[in-house]
Amino acid sequence: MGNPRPWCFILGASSGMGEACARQLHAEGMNVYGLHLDPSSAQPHLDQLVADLSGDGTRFRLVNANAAKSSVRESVIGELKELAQGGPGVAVAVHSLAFGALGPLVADGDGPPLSARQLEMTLNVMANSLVYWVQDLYRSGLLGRGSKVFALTSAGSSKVAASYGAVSAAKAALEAYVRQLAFELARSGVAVNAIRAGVTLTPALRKIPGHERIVQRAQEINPHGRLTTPEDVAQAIALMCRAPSTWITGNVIGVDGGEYFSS
Amino acid sequence: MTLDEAQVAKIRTLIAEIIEVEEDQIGPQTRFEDLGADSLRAIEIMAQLEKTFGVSIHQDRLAEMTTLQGVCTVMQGSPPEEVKACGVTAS
Repeated sequence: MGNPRPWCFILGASSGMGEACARQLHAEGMNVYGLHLDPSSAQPHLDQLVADLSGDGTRFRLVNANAAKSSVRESVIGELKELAQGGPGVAVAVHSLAFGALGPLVADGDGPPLSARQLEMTLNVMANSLVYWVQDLYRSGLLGRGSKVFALTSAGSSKVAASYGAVSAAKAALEAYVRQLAFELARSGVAVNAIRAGVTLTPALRKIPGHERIVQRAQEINPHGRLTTPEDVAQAIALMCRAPSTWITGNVIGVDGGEYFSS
Repeated sequence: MTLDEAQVAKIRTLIAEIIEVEEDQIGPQTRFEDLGADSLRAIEIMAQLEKTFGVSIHQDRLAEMTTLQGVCTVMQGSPPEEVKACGVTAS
């Protein structure tokens, strides 16, 4: 069944910045299609999210599936095409997949080094998947003139932290893909940008060994005296989506209250 | 929960679909990693088992779920009362 409202498509919609984007863009009147992969322990939270984002004349679809699989991509895009029929398609796509292997690249006292499979999975989920989804969304006609793609990166793309090697490489690759996609899609009027959030207390951050020190340091150096919140990120994305212009493209946009440049 | 033969077969089918291999490639002690599965597939297996069998599996037990035998052991140790606690309807 068609729906004339624009769609926002979010990879990683059940928590953190993806969830905040779902909530913010829904509040701005968009239909939201979110993909996530969670065990049943997340169900009460997901039920609440669905309850909060249902109604108001907008559609909200939340699918529990592995976004890194081509079969999932095929079925989701098929469904999205049906849902978006007769409307403006996907106005906003957000890549917020945070699933990577954490560990040293070289064996140390804390454990074995990351394996080839772990490195490949991290690169595939956190970087390559952006390309695959954009390829298929574009090919299916869901991305078009005025559409905006955002990929969530971090300062870790150009800095080092313990256990962060694979994710750091994935973020660097993600930023390179953003530049290249922006270049290739410019004539189609599709903008592609990376959002470099400041340190944000998300479920993904809490999994990084030693994250307490990262949080403490960010609180000390951030000129605003506080951490970035998922809502800060969602509001920045929503702000850029309000204007039809796609002239901001190919950038890594800091949404961190000035944290990156502070020491 | 206690698993009968049909349920073990169902678990094998479910895992084969997720890691995209033929069912007969999965022996009781075949490591999923040796069939190309990564930790994201492991989460997917866990989520799908919970949905299909109406159980709640503690994430700490993921490390044991590297073979069919390991999965069955974990499933047998997932009591149905946990199902109610996480708001999932038991099948």
